[in-house]
Amino acid sequence: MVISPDLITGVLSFIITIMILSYLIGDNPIFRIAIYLFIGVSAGYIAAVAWWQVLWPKLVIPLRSGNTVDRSLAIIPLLGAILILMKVLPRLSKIGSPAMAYLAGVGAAVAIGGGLTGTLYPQMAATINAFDLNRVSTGNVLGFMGLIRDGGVILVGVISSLAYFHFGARTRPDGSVRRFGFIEILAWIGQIFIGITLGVIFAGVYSAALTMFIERISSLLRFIGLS
Amino acid sequence: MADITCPVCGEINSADQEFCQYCQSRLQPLTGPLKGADAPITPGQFPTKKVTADLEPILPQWLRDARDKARKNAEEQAEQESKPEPETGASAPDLLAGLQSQKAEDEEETPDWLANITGSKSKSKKTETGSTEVHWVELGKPNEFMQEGEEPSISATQEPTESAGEESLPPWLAGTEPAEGGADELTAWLREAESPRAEPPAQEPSPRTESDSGSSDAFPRSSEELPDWLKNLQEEKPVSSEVPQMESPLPEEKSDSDWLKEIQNQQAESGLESAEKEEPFSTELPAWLKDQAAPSDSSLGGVPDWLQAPSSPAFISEEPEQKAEQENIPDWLKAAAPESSVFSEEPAAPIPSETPDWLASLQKDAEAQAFEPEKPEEGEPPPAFVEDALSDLNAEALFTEMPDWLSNAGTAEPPSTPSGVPSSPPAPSSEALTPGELPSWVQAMRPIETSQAEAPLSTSGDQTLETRGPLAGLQGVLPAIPGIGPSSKPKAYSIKLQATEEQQAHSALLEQVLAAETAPEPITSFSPLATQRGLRWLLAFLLLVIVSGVLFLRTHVFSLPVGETDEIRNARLITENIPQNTPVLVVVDYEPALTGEMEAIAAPLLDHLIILRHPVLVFISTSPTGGLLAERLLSGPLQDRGYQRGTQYLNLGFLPGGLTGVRSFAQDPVAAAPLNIDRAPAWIGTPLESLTSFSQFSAMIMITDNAESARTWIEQTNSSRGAMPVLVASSAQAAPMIEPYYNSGQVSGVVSGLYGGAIFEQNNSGRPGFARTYWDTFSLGMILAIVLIIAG
Repeated sequence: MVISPDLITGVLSFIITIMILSYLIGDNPIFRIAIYLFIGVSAGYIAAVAWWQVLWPKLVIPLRSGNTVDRSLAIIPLLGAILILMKVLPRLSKIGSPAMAYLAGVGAAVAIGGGLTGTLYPQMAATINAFDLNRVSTGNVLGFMGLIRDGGVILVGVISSLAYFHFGARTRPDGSVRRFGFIEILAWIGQIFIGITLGVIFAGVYSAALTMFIERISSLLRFIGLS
Repeated sequence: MADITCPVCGEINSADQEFCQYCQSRLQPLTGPLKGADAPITPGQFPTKKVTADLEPILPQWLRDARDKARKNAEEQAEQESKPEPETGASAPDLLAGLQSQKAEDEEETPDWLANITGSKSKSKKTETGSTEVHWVELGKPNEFMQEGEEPSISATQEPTESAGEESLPPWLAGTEPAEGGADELTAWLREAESPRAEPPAQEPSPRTESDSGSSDAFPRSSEELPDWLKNLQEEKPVSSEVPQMESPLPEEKSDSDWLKEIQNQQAESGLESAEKEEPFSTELPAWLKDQAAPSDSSLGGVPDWLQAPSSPAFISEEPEQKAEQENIPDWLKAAAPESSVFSEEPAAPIPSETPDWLASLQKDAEAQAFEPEKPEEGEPPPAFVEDALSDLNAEALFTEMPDWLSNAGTAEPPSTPSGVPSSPPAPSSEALTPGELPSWVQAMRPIETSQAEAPLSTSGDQTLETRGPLAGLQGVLPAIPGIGPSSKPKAYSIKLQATEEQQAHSALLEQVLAAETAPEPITSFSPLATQRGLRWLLAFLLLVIVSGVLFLRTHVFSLPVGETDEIRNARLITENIPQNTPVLVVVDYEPALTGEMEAIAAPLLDHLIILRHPVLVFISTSPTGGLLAERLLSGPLQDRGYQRGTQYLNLGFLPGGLTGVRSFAQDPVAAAPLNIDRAPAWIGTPLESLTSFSQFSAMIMITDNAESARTWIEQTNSSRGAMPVLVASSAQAAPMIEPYYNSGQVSGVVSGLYGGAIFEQNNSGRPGFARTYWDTFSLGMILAIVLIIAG
């Protein structure tokens, strides 16, 4: 009897799915075994991918069979990797500080630059462009009103959401610490927008989880042959 | 003249100054220069001779009043009573009857008895009404009352001993002749006391005339001159026991003989106690009274036995036989010696009809005195008061001891003092002492310095000699309470807190209570596991039932959605307008756990794209599992499209470096990802061999389940993307966060959740069909969630 890989895959998936679903009765060893398997397999696969798809082709091969330029270029990441590995040892951790500083600096620069150019400026422009009258044809009052409405909602939502995260406050004579009155009003409105956003996110999470659950049950039934 | 050092500030002043020029304190004493004493008495200095009569001005007013009253009473008694006093043999004159005569404040005359003693004239003394000065009463030793030139027969250090057969008066008793002819009552009774007892005590005292005269000799020369009361005391007669009153300073209205008789009666009724006791403060008859019955024991010439009493304490608890004597003692006399045991309230001891107790106590005190006022012994500095006697006088303290002239009467051996205290000679009676000056006998009573050498004590058996302190050298100073000794050194107490075990336990308990007050109290919370587990099971059961049932039944109750949102429409339009056979970058950045949803979303989109445009798909992922997921996607839902790796799609696998990797790929895709998932050169020999920049991709489709990955690719490829459209196939949970990028124009289309996949499937002819399979179950699940949320 030849056992097809699909059968093995099916059986394993079925069993592991049951093991994961056993969490309904609480934390139990079966669930933990499934979790441990997942973690272990994931870690092993990641390690394999990191070696075979990153270190070997980009560090080892250039150093072994690359030309002088390739080797010289490979020495730099090799040296950096060694310095970062020094962070493991408490005595030599300070040696890896320059490499870590370089990584942190480059990552911060890329993140800040991308955030500014890729998120902040476009989002600000989008908020301003919400009141772009060019999007509404002239004479379209409803369109105009709709534009103002949409733009206003967006603007109020943006400002009130930002005001909600303003935590500067002053001490009142009665000893209480409260924000400025106008800020308090905007923060209260921002709470509404943030609440709606979080609700939508929750709905999306539930939808995704439900879909995943449906897919799993369908897979089980398909394996059993009931679907 | 020698300069005087101010005792207050220590500054040096000239000798002629009376007050200190610096602090205005008095330099010169108030009293004038006395004979033998020009400066205040200092320790070690021998007392100077003083005239007893000079002390009359310093007598306290109450004493004078008592004396006057006593004199009056004596006179009245003498008029009323005519009883003989066989016991005493002669009516003893009231010793202190002279005090009665001096009743008025302005009648400050030298009493006759005092005048007789000192030999000076009885002269009027200035009144000291209202004077606040403390006046000393002369109770000095017999030597003090002697006339000038006479040698003291008895020294103060010598105890009064009993000499037998001496009838002659001692020198200190010899000089009792009144100076002005007035018979000194004291002298008279002293003389009578020396006379044999055969003489009836019929002599009435004439206290006024006799006591007013000052005399150096206060004692009678012979027994005929003894007062009757004193003579009566010589006979041992029981006296009634009555507690004498000592509070009243006024003399009773009795004659001297009567009170003496009463004392004798008291003593007889109360019964004789052991006469053998010679303890100080004992209840027996004082020796000086006993001596009256045995005049042969008198050691001094002519000193009556009652004056030769052995050492007996001044403070004697009265025997019953002494009570009669105490009763006969006039009040003024009692007041003169308030602390004397003679006038104590206790029952008096039986009197052997001799000297009264007060007299004996004074006598014994004088015996116990440890000083010689006149003779400084070699090598032994005399004692002295530490403080100025004039400033610390206490009149009452004077009466606690027998005067020297009484104590040394009839004693052959002068009392030996512990230190060389010279005996005081009889003070000259030429002039009265100015107030403030200490008489010699008082000076002799000064305590001995503690650093001075102590002479051997010759105290009686019961009297203790003070050896230290301000009363050093004095005998019988302290009350005769057995067991009282010198004060001990103060006990050193530890500064450590002395707490008993019970107290420590209580304190520990209090600490625990206080600690419990500040300790946070754990809030008891109910176990939510039971209720959450049941609810979880219920919900799980419902979902399982619904999902399984609907899947099993394959129902199509719920129709697929019809309404196409803008983002889905745009995505569809872009997908339909991508040039054919162009590279399309597909970013697969979702987790394997969300494969069911993501495949249901991405499969219709890619299927629609492949069917319509036959692009060359380039799969890449910033997740290590992205490459496998891409393979799964092509081998699963898109299996029917038969895309081959290397020709129709490239799987570049994992792109390391996160943000920097994406940015690096956006700048140079070939250099950032040279190898594919098989570790073979990805760009060589493929349709994308000519691709050199990121912008050469016709579109970028991001299949992601989190907004962070989408934002990373959007941000980092913003500068390199150019006009390339970006489509996002996101999970329902990331769609709200990616929507702003769609609204900002950075993302051209968004297909999110099973809803978007379902719409795309409707435009894709229902292919692959996941959305339709899942839609009824998905709808029921959403309805269930709504119901549960509404139901709470």
